[in-house]
Amino acid sequence: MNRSEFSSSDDSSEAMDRLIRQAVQHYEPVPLPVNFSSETAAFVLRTERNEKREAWFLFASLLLSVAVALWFDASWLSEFDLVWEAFARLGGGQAWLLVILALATAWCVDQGLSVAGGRRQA
Amino acid sequence: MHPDQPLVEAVLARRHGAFEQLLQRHQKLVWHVVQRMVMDAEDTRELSQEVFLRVYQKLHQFRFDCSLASWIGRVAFSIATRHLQRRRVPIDEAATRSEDDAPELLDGVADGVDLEAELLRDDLLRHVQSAMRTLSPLQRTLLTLYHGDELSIAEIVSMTGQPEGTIKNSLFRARQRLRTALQRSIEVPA
Repeated sequence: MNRSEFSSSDDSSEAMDRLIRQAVQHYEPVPLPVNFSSETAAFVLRTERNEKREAWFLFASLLLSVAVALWFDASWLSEFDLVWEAFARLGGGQAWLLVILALATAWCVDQGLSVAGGRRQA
Repeated sequence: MHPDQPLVEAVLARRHGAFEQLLQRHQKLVWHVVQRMVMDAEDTRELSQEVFLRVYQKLHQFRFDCSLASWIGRVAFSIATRHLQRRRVPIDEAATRSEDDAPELLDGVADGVDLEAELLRDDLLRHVQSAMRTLSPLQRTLLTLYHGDELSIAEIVSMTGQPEGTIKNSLFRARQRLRTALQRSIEVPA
């Protein structure tokens, strides 16, 4: 679509459109801060780095918690035989159980970190 | 090759300085969209940063089916809209006054009046700025994208996801409202 065709129908409305266009171009109630791009680039890279670090930390916590549990007493693993049997009967697999366990552990660690973070900020 | 492809690939390859270049190229557009929608300095800064964080994280999903500016503008519009929705601010509802009482504006403007010279007067600019505040967030944003950033209707459709008819209608109403405000400021002969 033609911009001028949409904007104006005669000379006077064209003048008014020009005026409005100029007014809109001058309209800057909150000017863009001079350091916005450098500040934002730093913010984005920092956030990205922190998120990656947090993900690795969660994963490491999960591995560590499993390793510690095994080191103390691995006999509890045999308890899962019953659960796995039940799963097998339901048509599920051991993978499902592991996924649920992993998610639950990750959630618990995340909650713990959030509470600790909240306390530190307070 | 898509004109934005080298920059997008450079950012995705995490090449040094590429994201800063993308930021510098599109910061004005993002700032315009967010600021016109939320009208608050601190919120504008935070949301604009959130837009660029989202762009950085989701850039691999850009399919080169539109310009990068449109895609980034769409992210900005959607984040600003969600912010207003959370605060229960309707995006397409003007603040005050009805447009129905707008008179035929240009009928009253004298032939000898130099409109552009008048605009340069500070009081007139202030008047227009206060009139901009009475527009709905959507009208303000569309007006800026169309007249300020000089985007086409098609680009605005792609950016905002609003139907073409809605955009034209909003632009018409916004201009009508601004014309009323301008007419009040320009000297009208008796």
